[in-house]
Amino acid sequence: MEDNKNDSGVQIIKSATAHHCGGCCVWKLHVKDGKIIKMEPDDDQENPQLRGCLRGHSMVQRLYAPDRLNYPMKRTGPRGSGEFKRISWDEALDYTAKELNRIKEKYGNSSIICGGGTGDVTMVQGYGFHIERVLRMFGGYTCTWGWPSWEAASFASHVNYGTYDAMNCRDDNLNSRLIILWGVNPVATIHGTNAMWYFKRARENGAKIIYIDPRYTQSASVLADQWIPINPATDTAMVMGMAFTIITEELQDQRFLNRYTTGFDVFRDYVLGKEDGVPKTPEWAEERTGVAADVIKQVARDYATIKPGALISGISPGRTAFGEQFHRATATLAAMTGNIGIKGGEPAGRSLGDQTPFHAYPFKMGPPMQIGENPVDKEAPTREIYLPNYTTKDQRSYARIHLNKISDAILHGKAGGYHADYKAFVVSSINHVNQFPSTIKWHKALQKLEFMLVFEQFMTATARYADILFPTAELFEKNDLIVGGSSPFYGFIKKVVEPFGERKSQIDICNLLAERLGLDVEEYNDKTDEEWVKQIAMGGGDVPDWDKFKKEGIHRMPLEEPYVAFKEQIEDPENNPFPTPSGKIEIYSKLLADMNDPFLPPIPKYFEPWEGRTDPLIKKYPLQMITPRFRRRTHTQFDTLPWLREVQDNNVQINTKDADARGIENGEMVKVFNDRGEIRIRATVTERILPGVIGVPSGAWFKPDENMIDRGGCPNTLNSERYSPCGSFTWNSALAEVAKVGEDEK
Amino acid sequence: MKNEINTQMGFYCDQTSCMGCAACVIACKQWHDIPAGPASWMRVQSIEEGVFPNVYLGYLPSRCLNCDNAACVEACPAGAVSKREKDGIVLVDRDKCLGRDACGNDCSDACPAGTDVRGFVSLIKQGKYEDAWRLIVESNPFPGVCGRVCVHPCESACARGQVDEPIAINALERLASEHMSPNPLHVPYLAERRNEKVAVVGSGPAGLTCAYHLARLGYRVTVFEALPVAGGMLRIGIPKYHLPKEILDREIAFIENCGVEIKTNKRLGENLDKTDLEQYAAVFLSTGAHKQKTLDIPGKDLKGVMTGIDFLAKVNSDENVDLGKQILVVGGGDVAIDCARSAVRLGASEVHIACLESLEQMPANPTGIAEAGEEGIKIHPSRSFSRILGANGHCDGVECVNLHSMKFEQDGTLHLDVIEKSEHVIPADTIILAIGQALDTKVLPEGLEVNNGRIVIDETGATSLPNYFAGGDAAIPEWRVAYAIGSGRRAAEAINRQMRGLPAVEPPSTSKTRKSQFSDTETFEKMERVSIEQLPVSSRISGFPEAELTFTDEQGKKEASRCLECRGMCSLACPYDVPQFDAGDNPKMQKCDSCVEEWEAGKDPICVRSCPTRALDAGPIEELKAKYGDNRVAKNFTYYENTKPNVVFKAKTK
Repeated sequence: MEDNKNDSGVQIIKSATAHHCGGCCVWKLHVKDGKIIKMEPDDDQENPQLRGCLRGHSMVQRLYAPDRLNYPMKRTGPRGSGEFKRISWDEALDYTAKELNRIKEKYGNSSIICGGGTGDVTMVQGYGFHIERVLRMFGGYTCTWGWPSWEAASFASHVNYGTYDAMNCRDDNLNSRLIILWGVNPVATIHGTNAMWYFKRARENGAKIIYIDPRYTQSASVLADQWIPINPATDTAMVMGMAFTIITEELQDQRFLNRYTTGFDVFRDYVLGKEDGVPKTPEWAEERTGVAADVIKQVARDYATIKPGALISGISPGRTAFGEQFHRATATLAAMTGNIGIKGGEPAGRSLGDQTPFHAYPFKMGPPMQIGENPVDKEAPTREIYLPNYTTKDQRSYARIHLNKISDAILHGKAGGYHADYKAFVVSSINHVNQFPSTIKWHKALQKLEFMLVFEQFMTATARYADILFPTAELFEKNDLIVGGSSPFYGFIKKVVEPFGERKSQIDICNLLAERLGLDVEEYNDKTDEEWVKQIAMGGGDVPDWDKFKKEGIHRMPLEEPYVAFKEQIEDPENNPFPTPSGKIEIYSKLLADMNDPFLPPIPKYFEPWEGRTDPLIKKYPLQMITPRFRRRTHTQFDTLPWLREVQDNNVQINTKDADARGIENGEMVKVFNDRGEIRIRATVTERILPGVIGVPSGAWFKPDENMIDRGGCPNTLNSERYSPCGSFTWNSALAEVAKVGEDEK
Repeated sequence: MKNEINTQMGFYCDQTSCMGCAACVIACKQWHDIPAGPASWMRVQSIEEGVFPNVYLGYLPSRCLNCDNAACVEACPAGAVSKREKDGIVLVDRDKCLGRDACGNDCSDACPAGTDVRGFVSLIKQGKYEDAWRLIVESNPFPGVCGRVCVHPCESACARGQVDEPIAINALERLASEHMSPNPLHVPYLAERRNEKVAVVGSGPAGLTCAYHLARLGYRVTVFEALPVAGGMLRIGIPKYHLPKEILDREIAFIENCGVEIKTNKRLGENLDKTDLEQYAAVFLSTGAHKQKTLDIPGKDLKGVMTGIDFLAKVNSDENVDLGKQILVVGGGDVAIDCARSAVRLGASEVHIACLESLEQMPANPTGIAEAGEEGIKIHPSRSFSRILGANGHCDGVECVNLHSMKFEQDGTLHLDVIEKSEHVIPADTIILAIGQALDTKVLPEGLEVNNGRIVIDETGATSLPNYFAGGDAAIPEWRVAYAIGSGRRAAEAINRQMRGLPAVEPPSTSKTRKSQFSDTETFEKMERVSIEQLPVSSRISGFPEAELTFTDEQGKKEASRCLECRGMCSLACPYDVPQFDAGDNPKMQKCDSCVEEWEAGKDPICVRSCPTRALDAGPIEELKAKYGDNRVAKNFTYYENTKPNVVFKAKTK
């Protein structure tokens, strides 16, 4: 707030912002009379400026949106009805404390579920850290496991590299001569602010860009020299076909493989069919992927010969039935082509440009708030299948529920094989009902609860089921911190205005709740949000000048050249082993071999996916449904903003051939359905999607009618809660059918 | 003006980098505080082409291109849009902007025929002449007729009249009628054929209008006409120099093309009776007022005395009329003037008009009176007539007295204030009595209520007999073409409502009533009314040529451009679809202002500063050309040579 006000009483304050959007942008906020009146990109930044997207530009509309929750609320109607009355903070906190105490006494701490707060990815207020710390101090709760976004990618990255920080920064792509974008659509997912700009510049510099995706996306329209539409969930088969070509044409970087990897021979035998009698030829791959064998061969040759090459393995192919195999396979391909640890290459294990806490650059941060040990985790035995170097001991606890199974766990409890019977549900920074599969099951499960608490900003699908709603403050109403996922910077998201209405930050709410629960408030948290920002940013030495950081809202790590992952391991492997058991890139993983799960084999393999083209269910539901990210939303967030709503229609994409076969016209309201539910949504009939595939945009708000037909068009109504062998969500493995809506069904 | 621009600002778009993300669109809305809705200063067009898997997807961000020859600047009737001198940025003065709907519907509201006057003038302003004709015939199938003989109350109502002179709407209607589609298939939208049959009795403007609208609504309509030719008074009562017969023929043919059947020589009460009409689901009576009133004074039956209607009918059917040298027309209305002027054209050497009314009281159109004067016709106002003199059974004059004044009492009786001892004689070889007509009530169907010499109708045109409707001179007091047309149209609507079982009420509203909302007309620039060319007197009295000429297209466009109604001329003129309108009763123009305040402070417009792929740029156009090349062509973008937009592109191919 050190800037002077100008003549018209407008003060300009710089601040970063980041939702769970895949980026971080820096703004000059124009503040007048305690309100942000407008915002402009911060042109004063050193190059390259972190430029916002359409959602960033609508932050002012979001901050003051009329449908924001501004007061604590108590439910008055049935769960899911969204009927609430305004209550005071005292009443809300007292009631919450009373209910949590009652349930703890009657059913034990394990009957309280909390976890998965990935809707806020900021380092001080995000991830639901605070409420989890409160609940741990309160005696524990049933925690969850599994990352919705990238469990497969993270798992695979840990297997091959021993870490999930396995990605070059995006500006390094200017050094690439070949870029393979595999299931990546940065126009919608940002993929690290400025990613599209770097990719476009790389293409202008002469890099060839191959774009693999069932859809011809907006990103493809700008970037693709070659678009390869591929059947969903068969990406691993294409990688195998490429590996076959590289091996049989002896194009692999054998020196690299010998020096840095283990187990290539085992993988080679599998690819050539020596292990199972099935050579994974391009023709074999063509049958599965729908990609012509010649094209597979050409991409393989390109990747093996145009160097350096960056295979950017997006996280969507991993969100399929055996998704972890895709990331293991692409990382293996990166090793075969020697594209790891070099400028312009890419480890291709978990290449995504999101934000904290996963990032390419190894920041030296000060410690954030620790959520502490969870007594409920400790009292339970360990799960059978886990990757030792991936999970902490707590994370392996049998008490934990996979995020995808919360609704099932609430419905069935101990009788269903879960660790406890569940009575209370505490939700912060996440919208389970909308964003997790089998939405209708969620609707049923939440009716069973005795108490449900939701921290929210809007009346989301999940909030509608709460008993008590805590209205949380928005960015610019609280201090927070973000670090760059694919470029090395710290962003200070500043408190610029007082929270509107009675909104409070998560830290402030949890301070009050801790007190109501009789916890030691000093022990719970002795810092303000700004003090936390300072501790994390400066505590490890990365940010040297607090005043400058606070003024500019951004600190960039001073680097000579773009950050390249595993540079030290490649340049000096003797002194810098990979953090794997063998110290090498593990194409063959002994850890996996020891787990002895046929569907988590020690080398990457292709398995026919359930709810794919070879599943007999396809006779009943002949279309493969994928759930792409939607440009005008961040998951469910931003969906109600009028500026953004008019930018894009929330329609199901369907190929002209499939539409014609069903008599569906462009723009027509259709039903999309399978055994799990039915949604109503308008159709976009287009040539831009592979025939046999439909794209239902993720994040539309679940709005069931009296027959539980989802009029909001939320794809999770149709998605399966079945997770992949490693625990990945399988949003892109779902079969469905599309049909006209009959006259009597409207 | 463009020569004065110091450094023209320009815009650059790298179409190959634009990803259609709309960040610029939201940035612009946010920065300029534009609410959600159609108004969007920055737009991104997108286009998809091709068949899977060979698809093309491209975008084009568009904003104001600050053209050298900015069409919006030219188009604005209020001079509210201008190019700034120092950088050529096109700006809107929102105080000067009239607003798209500032000028009300006064003209349209005033039209008895229900014509969308505002609309067709606007179309002519845009040079869309045939569209103007199409719009008129939505309500009125007789633009050629009305464009000549209408008394145009629209012009009296025209808001431009408060500034200088009203728009020459009547002449513009005539111009529009000249652009009638020559293709007989180009009829307006016709509804699906229905089975109900409707009879129309009388083929004057009321009857044919009613028939026309009913036919367009799908009914099977038959018009019965007593005379051998269709047209009613338009045919026999209006002289050819006012209304050339080919104009009437053309418009009747158009009505017939819409599916109306006309049967001539079918006279009600002679070879057409109530039983015949009972075969029809509805009947519209528009028999007109053809019975000529006569003066009940001695000598009225002498040879050489005739009625105005008979005289005009004979002239109009090219019958030989022997008039002699000196002619006297008795009467002060339009018919009297028409008779006198026709007599001049037939070669009479001296033509006089005498009437009860003073010059000011004469009901005839003042223009007609003035033109009659130009043609040498002498008018004797304020006379009362005591008898017609004659010899050998042939008239040779009228005996008159002068009047101080005359007036009709409230009960309809005539009060004359005679000047004593003013008796005198106006000599005449022929005396034409044009003192009014009346309805021949004897032939009307039994039981039909008649009052004051008119068929009694309600506001929808319904009579006292079920399924019988009436209009035109037979039923309405205003004996003017436009009123007759209006009555026919209203009755058509009422008949349609009855057939479809809709409530009879809700008479068709002819337009949305909205008054002009100019607070201060003094600020408007005065613009001279384009005058209509007239034939010189010598040419026009040498026969029956049309006295007034039709506007040329250019004259019409110029005259129409005097219209204060803007209806978004800037937006219609801009080929790049830049101008938009805010919400409200009278939406005002808004558009991209190139972030002019930032620009002055040396900053790029917000769209440029917000593009994630840095696809946009702005700067002096010459610098942009030097930096990016002078390419004005991009996919989805048509560059109009005449506007000279200040934009350069990096174009996308695939």
